[in-house]
Amino acid sequence: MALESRPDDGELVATLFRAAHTLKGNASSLGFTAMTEVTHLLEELLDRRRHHAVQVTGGFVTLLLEAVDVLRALVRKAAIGDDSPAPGQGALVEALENAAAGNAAPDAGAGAPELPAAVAAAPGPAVPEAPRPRGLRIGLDKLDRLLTLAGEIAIARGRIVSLLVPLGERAVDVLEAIRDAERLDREVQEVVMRARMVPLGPSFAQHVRTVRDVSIAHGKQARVVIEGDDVEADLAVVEQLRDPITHMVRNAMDHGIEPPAQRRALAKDPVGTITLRAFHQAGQLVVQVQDDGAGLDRARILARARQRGLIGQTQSLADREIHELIFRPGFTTAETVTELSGRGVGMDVVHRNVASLRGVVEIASREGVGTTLTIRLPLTLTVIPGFLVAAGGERYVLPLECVVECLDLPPGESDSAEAGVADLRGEPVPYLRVRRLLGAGTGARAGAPAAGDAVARESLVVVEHADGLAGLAVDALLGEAQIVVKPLGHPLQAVRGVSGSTILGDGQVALILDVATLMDEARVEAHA
Amino acid sequence: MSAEPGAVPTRQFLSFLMGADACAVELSHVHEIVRFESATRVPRVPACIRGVVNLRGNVVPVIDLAVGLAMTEAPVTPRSCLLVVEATLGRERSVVGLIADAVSQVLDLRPEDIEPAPSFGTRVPATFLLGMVRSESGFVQLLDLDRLLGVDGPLHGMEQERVVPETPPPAGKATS
Repeated sequence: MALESRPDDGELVATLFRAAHTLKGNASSLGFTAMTEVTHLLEELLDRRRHHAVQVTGGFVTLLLEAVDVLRALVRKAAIGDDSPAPGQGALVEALENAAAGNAAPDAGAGAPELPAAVAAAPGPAVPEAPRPRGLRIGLDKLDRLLTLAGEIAIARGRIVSLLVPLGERAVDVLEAIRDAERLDREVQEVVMRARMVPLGPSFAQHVRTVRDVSIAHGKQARVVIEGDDVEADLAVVEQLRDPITHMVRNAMDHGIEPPAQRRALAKDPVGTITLRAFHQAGQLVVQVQDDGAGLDRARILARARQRGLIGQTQSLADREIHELIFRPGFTTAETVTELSGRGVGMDVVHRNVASLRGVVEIASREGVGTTLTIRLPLTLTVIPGFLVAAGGERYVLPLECVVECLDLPPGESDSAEAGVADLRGEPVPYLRVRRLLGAGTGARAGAPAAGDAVARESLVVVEHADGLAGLAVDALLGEAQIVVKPLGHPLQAVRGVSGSTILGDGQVALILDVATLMDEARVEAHA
Repeated sequence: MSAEPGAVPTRQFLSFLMGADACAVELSHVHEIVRFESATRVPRVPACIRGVVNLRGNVVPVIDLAVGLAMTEAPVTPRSCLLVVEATLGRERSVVGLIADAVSQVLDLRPEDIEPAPSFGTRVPATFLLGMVRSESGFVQLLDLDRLLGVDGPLHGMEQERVVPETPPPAGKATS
């Protein structure tokens, strides 16, 4: 696809040629004749291009991509020892033969309109010649083991410290040295965590291809804009997001982007834009798929819902309820099932995969202007800057990103209510008292510290959430720290208001608060 | 693996005290035994989940079966330990720590040593027992961990996504 943006890049063609050649050699030496045939033709075609015998056109690229698809199918079959031709191979072979024989620009394929999918991915992902960092593949299990070991070292060190402390003066130097080691150890943990992180870019870049295929098949035109391809997430998260993003992009193409003629009539750019965007916000990973198409067709969704008996004939729905309909399994407004969508599985998959990552999907849509699908995920396995607080005898971590400022709560405010309003330079800021919200009230136990007692002076952490500023009243501020996020395992991962946990320097576990959920709950309760 | 000819296959159980009750779990379930001092409390969970602890870098939930089965909760003592066990929680295999007030011994039991649990009268409900066995100091209750930690056990309710609770769940909820 990079070839499409830079048709005259001889080096690129040569790279492709070499790859085709290598594949052919391997296939033939292993006796996979079907693959050999395709790679041979591919090689021939690329060779002609190398010698400028054919022009790079949309059709040429389409042909190459089709060849890649057939080869992928062949590789899969080869893995199970099957040497039969893949579906579509016959047609491809014919097209390749034609092209290689030097017939006019091979606009075979699907009768491609002239270069509809202009690749506007900034800054060009997946350009083969970009300098690649040297590296090797390593199993996730090894990384996890490494992490566990780092944790064990921390515990062992903790024991040494507790043995040294009683020695007092004589052990001061040794303790100092151990503290240094502690810092290094924490760094090791962080590095290992980071090693699990991969940028979202590549999983975005693959959709440039999706959009291209779809636009050709449907006579639509669209470009893909990628923002935030350097935003990183845990490998497992990136994998889980792959399918949802695919469905969202396909939906945008199928239901969102209008045909060029219609777009012209609406005084829009005939080439539609699909934006894939990733960023961090308020301690969450946000992934958006935005199109500048027609927006959700309320009337059609309502009609279909009535037809299927999901809602009453006269019942009208708020936007929010309409959006929820879309995520129902099997719900589709498409009149016919197409290759792209219409089977009604897509958005259901989006919903399910995102829910399994404990995220939410939001839809914002304006008729005629476009639709934005937003996936919000809590941060999982990763290192984040955190802010440590104490409340009710426990320590909690707030993602530093959502902390705006800290101040003393005036003594007058220090009562034991679960919520209140503080005065922030004249602005009323609602706050929740963490000690009451999560502490003593939830199953006070014998032996637990006297968590219900108010402290002399509470502090207020002002946090940012979806609707503005809010506060969390805590007993003490303990400062910033880089924290390694540990997901709470089964069965605790469903606890609302807690997004994970971390292990503090002293080996104790602290919970990470899910500020957004806590605030949402408070708001819902207030309105109930 | 192969037993001596004529040898009767035995099952090994680890016996421990839960409050005043002698209980035992199959040894093969137990990964390790660690000392228990304190756990970080987790809000909004059944009271039998004492919280979470750091087990060499892994965050592991701590379950107090004594609370879960409405028996008396014993204070944490220097002899308190965690039996780190693997069991099916709801639908997933998970590693959890069970609070034991003291670990006693490993019992080698032949099938005929294990008496079926009486249908009532036991401190631990009979549905959660594999059986009972006599020891010098009285009966030992053999716990059926998969049932105890499964969907019928005191942890039940953790599976569903919680709706916004008006008030934090009362401590006794899980035992009903």
